[in-house]
Amino acid sequence: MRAQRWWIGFVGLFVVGLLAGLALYGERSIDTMSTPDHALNSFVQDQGILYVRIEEHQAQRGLSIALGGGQMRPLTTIHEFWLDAQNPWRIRRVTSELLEDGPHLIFADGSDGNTGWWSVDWAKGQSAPERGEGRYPLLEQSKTELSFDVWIRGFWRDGQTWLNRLHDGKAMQVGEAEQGRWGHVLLLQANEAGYVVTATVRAETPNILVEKITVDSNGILQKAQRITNWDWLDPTQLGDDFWMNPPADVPIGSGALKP
Amino acid sequence: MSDVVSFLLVLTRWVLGALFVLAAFSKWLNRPGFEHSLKQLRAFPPDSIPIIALGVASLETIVGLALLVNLLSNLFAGLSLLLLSAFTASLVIRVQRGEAEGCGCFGATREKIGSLTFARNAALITLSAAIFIAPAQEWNPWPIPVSLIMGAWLYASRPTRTRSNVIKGKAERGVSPQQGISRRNFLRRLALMVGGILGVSLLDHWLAKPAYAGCPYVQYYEHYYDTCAVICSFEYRIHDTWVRTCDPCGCGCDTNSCCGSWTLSSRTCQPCDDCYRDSIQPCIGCPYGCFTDPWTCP
Repeated sequence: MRAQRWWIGFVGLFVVGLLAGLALYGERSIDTMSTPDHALNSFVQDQGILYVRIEEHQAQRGLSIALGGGQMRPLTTIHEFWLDAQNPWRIRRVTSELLEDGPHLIFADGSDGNTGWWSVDWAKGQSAPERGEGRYPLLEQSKTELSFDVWIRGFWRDGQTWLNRLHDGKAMQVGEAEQGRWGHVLLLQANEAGYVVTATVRAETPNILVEKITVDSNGILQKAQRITNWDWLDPTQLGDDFWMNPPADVPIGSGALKP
Repeated sequence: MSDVVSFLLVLTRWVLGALFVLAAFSKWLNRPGFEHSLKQLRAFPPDSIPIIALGVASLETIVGLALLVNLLSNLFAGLSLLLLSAFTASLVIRVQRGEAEGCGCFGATREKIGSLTFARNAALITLSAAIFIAPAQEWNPWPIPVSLIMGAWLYASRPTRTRSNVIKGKAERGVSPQQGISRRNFLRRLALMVGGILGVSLLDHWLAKPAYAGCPYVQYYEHYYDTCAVICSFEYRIHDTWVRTCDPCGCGCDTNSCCGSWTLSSRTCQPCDDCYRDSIQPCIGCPYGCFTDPWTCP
């Protein structure tokens, strides 16, 4: 009988210890995943509309979604984000390809953050926005909370990865500079599988990956990705229908162009 | 690889194969002469000479035929490289001994060993090396009838009889002129045989399945967008898979010449934290070089 109590006590202590450990681990995970408060400086504000524009250029192997494929060629894809710092559900994302006659929209979505949302995906054969009511189903089914930090983390994830590689000796620092709005940036380089990748990463948090250039062993450009805009806009400057519609001046898909 | 280089390689293979077959046949037909050449080397026990002579002639036959019909041509080109190197080494040994008579090349017992002999061997070694290092090429049955004609012709020079052979009694050793068939009948049978083989080759050429059986007719290109939170949600990046169909004409995967257009096959979202890379499926079994594109992990 005494022996049984001893076992029950032992197992109980073990369970308590396990739960405490899990709780502590969970807190630590949340800490490392979220943006620290001091990051909310002028670079990351707590109000206004953050406009981010990213250019991705495939110098050799571009295949146009707008044209539905074809032969490989140089291709530039533009990703634009409008994000409301006060209401992370109010968003607008536009992805377009720069073709001979200008930009062609291949994906866009948005939401007023309250009553409705819309989405258009040319790759799925949609040529007009699909619309829905309520909050935009942005999150996975298991999640309900969305903070502005989550959006910011989407941009600084790759920068953090590069800094980790630098820390682990898998990348080397080849320079540093002061770059306008980005402030102090580090130039990191890594050689992988015959390619030389040079990354420009913001030194301070959030460690945005500002630019990434990939060249082959002959120095021929393969890929280039850069953030061209990181601007804070006044929400009143954007029209009422801005959040609920794709840009009117950009044709969806191939438009007039033929594949 | 350009068409010209490809053609030159085929030609090289045929020339080398034909020379080996000729050399083998001459050794078969004049085995005593070849055995005599081996004896002159004084490198083998006398009892083993007939066995070695038989072995070398057989090996030459196999190598020659394999090169002609393009069966494991790289392997047999390597073997021909070894054989020719051994022949050349034996010639060097004999020259050092001051023995220039009876080269034994192509079964010739009277040919002198000279600079021409070495130059010829060097050229053959170069041809063998070229085929040895070149990418494997398409199966080609066309040299089969050619090689059979050559072999049959060589064989016919012995047992067939012509009027002059009969009259002059010049039939070669061991074969009575009366025992052989007439040259006209022989040529008739030869023509039938060659015609049949050519017919089979033609059928094989037009009806058989493409030679590049291992070549992927559907090729895949995987592309990952660099930026997370584009289209996919937050923790995921887009992964597009493109496909194109390649013709069996040669699957020139390093050009677009015989492949169709790329079309989007699937679009999924992959975790951002996973290692990702753009890649093009390599052309397994293609005779020409294809590119694989192992992009870097972030």
